[in-house]
Amino acid sequence: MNRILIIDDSKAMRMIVARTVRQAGFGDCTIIEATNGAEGLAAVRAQAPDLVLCDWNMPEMSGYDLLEALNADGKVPPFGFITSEGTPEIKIKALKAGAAFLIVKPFTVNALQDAVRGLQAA
Amino acid sequence: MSAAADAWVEATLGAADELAATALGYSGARVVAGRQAAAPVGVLGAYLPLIGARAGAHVGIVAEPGVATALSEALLGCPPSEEDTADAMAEIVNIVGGGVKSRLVELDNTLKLGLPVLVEGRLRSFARQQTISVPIEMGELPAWIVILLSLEE
Repeated sequence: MNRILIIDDSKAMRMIVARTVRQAGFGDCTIIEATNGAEGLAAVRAQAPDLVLCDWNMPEMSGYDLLEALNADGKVPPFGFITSEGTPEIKIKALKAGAAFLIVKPFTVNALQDAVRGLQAA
Repeated sequence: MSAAADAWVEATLGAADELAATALGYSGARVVAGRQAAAPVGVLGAYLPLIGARAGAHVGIVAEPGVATALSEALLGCPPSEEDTADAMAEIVNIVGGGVKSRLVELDNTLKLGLPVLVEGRLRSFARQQTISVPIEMGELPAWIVILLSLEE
């Protein structure tokens, strides 16, 4: 895994996710950041990340709308949500749209590690 | 206090306790005094709207500015700038809001999270709104949860 794209409108959350990515053993990866779904869509198209870690609620374009746009492109990179939205309905919606996992905040290093390793094993 | 207000307070306390014990690395959050009917003054914090078909409120986490900086540092893992503190307080209430939503599915399973807003000073409410403040400690740091409920017409 070379490039990880972190998409969140909160700078604080991007910092936390980047730190957790390093703590989870992916410190050698290049971290790319985007602040909403629209920026994230442009980043996916331009930089072909190996993993996208995306918030759900964001202004301009939500994480779910981004995933739908990537589905329309026909090219969805490995994609996981990290979000405060933890209801079963949201999880089902995310997985049906092609997300590999949904991690609910507050989350631990182990949760991210397990999700990404599960993705790599699949 | 209505059963709905009690449910909002308990859900917010539960979510704040979970946040404190995980993302902030403290022992948890605990109530240190009784509920108050006004928002605290001279504080910094963030509020998040949770609006559904049958229920709605703004949920806030606020603290004195120095404590807000300490909470932000606990979340980020490094000393925050002023901008980072604002962003971190917004993220704290965003995480708590997600926990509140999960805890209140039986009250209203249509609740949606809005985007957080930062408030510095004192929150002012309208006559048709009910303010509930609960002094808490996150770890050993004093803070408040504040819930702004819309009263029924």
